[in-house]
Amino acid sequence: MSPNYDKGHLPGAINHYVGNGSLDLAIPDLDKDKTYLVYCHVNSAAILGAEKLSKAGFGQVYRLEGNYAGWVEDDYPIEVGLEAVGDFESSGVATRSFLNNQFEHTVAASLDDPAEGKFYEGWLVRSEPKLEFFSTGKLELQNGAYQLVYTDETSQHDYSQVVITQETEANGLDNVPETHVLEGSF
Amino acid sequence: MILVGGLVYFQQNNSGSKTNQTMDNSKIAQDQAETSQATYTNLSPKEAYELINNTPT
Repeated sequence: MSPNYDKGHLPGAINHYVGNGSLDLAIPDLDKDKTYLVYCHVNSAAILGAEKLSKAGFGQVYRLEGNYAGWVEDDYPIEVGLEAVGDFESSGVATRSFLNNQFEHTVAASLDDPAEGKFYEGWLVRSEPKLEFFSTGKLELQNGAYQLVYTDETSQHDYSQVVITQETEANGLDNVPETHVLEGSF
Repeated sequence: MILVGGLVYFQQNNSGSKTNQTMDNSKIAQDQAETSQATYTNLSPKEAYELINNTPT
């Protein structure tokens, strides 16, 4: 799997690594009646991917101009993986978008229940021009995963790092991050 | 709607990357020659977003 895919992708995107022939292998199993939007981090790969699908007989093939960077710059929805920190064994997915003057950030994580007297909290972080962060709230257990939805009328595009911490219930939402559990970056 | 993303030509790893890149560059040139007749439509991010959200999955 491409390292770039792990660093962020359009929600629902399927990763095929063209350079090693992954797309060639996948094409026979793809439904030609469906619509395909092809993108990458560079033009050459995306163009070739779109051309391959088109030449293979796929009728509805589109390519994203500006590639992934253009999509991110315009604040359309993106998704990144969250990785466990330290001794924690877990994983998660975070999304963000800014559409119709509404910033939305979500987290869904496969986490064990927090230790007694603890809870999970989300944070958005930026390191430039100086380290700053804010809480995105408490993660609640829903449908088997710890989740949160944070919305804001202001884009928080600059806060590109996601951190999930385990916090002490007695301290509440005190804006003091404790133990890092998951981390990721848009 | 199917998104095909992460189409990366240059294998990015910490070892042997130069060899892999050379091989992949060769493959790109070969593939580009083979697919010169293909057609597709370019979409801006706005158009692509609208396509994704208006097309049944």
